Amino acid sequence: MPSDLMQTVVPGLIEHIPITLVYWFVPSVLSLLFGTLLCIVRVGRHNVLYWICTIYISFFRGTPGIVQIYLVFFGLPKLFWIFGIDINDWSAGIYFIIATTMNLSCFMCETLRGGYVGVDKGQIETGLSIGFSRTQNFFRVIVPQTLKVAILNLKNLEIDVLKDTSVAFTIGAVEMLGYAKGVIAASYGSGQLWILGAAAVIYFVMCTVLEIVFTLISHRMERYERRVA
Amino acid sequence: MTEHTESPDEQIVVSLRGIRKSFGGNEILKGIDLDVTKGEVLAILGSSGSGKTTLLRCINALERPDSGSVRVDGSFIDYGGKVANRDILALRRKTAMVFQNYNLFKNKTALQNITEGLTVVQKKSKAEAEATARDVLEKVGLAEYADRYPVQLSGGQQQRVSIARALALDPDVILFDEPTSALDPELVSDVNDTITEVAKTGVTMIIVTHEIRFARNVASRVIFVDKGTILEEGTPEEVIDHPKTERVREFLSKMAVK
Amino acid sequence: MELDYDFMISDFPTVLAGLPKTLVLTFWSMLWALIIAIVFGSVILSRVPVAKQIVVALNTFIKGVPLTVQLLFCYYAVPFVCKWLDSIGVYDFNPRHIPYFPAAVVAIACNFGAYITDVVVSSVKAVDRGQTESAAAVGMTPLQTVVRIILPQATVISIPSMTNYFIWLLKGTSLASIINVAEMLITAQISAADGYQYLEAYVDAAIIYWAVCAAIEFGCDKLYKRVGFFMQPSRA
Repeated sequence: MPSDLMQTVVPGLIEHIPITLVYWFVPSVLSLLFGTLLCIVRVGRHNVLYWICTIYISFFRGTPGIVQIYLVFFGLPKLFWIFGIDINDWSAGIYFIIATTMNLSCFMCETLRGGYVGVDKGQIETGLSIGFSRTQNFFRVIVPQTLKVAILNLKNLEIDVLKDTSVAFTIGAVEMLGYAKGVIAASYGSGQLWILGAAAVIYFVMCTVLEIVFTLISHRMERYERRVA
Repeated sequence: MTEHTESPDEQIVVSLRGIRKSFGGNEILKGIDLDVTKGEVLAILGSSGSGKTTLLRCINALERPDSGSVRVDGSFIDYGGKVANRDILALRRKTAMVFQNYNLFKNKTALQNITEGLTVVQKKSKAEAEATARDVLEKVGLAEYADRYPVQLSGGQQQRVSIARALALDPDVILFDEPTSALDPELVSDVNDTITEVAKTGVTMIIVTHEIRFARNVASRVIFVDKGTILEEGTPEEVIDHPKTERVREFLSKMAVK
Repeated sequence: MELDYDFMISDFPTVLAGLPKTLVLTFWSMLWALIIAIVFGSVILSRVPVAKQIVVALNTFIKGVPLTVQLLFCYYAVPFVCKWLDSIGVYDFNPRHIPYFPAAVVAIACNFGAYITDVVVSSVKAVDRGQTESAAAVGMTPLQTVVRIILPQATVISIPSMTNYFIWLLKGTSLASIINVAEMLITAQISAADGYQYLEAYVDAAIIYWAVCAAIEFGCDKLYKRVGFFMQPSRA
């Protein structure tokens, strides 16, 4: 094992964990918001907005993530140029975050929709009959119940988002894998498998932590459901 | 104890000795002895949790007793020692079961459900199997449903196909596990009629049921199982009309049948 | 929007010509993924103590590593593997034609095999227990039960999930462009390189992916309705 190389590389990989987490966290939060909005449209009436959202979601679920990233990377500047805005000095990371958010919102929407459909309608009616306003009902009854049903699928989505940060290097946004590739190129191809192996282990650890956290959240949410033996 | 000494014209088809079974620390069957003679229709009564279904399932090894022995016709299994799968298979091939949930093979038509056992297990030819199958379907009154899938049949029809399947195998004994419990009330009588018809053919039957009236009409012998032992046994008139123990009286009155 | 629409139209057939390569890659990857899933799934279902733990641990690890990392790993491993095969006389290693396609297949198949293992296991478990008991009561051997009753039903049960993973895998083949494997995305990139008309080429590629995925989803939906009609949850 080329220990010299590893001694420099592994700390470097770890140094790039924060940026990887940024590329994971920001889209996740934004997508939760947009995904919720999309979901609200999708469970509503079949009007024009519904169909626009349906097509939008179908596109982002039917095309590969890397293609979407490229489309945003090359397309967004041209789009902004129409309004006379020059965004060519935006860092690649921003494009990645935007593309990921657009993509993730769609999957979030469908997951939340599945959760919403699975909520016992009686719960919603009870909330209204107690006198909750629609907004109160939304936040105090609908949201918690939906999340409870959707949490496991959300977990899987979030783990995928974390792993997909590794595609960012294709447009020049350097995160952990981007750094690893750079090192591999610079060291003329020796020790590549070790470097990639180290990166793999770090990704695995991060995913496992994520899994544990979500499982704990899920258990906490269900603690009121556990029957007294 | 319900042992019979064999007389020349009485042939014992099923024989259980010392059957014990526990589930997770609870002893469900506490050493049951039982003989069933050829042509008998034995009804097993009891409340939920009494062990009656477990007892039935011990006969064809869907539950493995912790100890005791089971004999069906010539096949004998002693659960005290090591049990060979070959022996279990042999014993199962002498019995047929009608389940509470019908358990027809979902991916096969009614006809195929019956021919499966005949071709695959009894190695009959396809033509022979089909002929037999159509014959038994006729007997249960479902000849025109031969090519329907279980999902296209009502619960009662599925159960009757299930009975036909059991008949077609020509077993030494047919085991019925609460055959009408999962049915809508209006379908129950059709199935009960079918079972009564089958009983008339003289095949040996063991029926676990909580339909007291039905048991009284169709059974030639009744046993009452309670807390893992046989509390009473005798003819339907004896056990149902004139129960000897308080427990049985209590049970029957709760079932509100006379 | 400033798009070279002429190029978009003229480039479309060129990009489309890359589709068969994508489909071939998808086919082989899916095939091997299924094989892996059935083998691993059988181990997990058989509940053999040590083997099951190993398989579960292996799958957990594979699922925790991004496909890009796995692809790159296989890419860099190929020369070593080829040299080793050469040394034991099984394969003629030619440094000018390094077989990266099998590397992509291995990476994708292992990745998806881990996920599809879960589908296999859950599909088999979803077959109503009464079906097995019924088969046992009739006197079928375990093998007969599995082949005639469990397998057909589990296969049908698995169709919706398998469709999802199939589409996901097809989209995943686009990542093989990172390791120079011929498939549709890299074809699009190459066609756009001269005039730097990447956006147009990517739009073409996106449209084709979208259409293919929609077609697969539609087709599998129809298939499921056709063969799945006999599946119905048993009454309690």
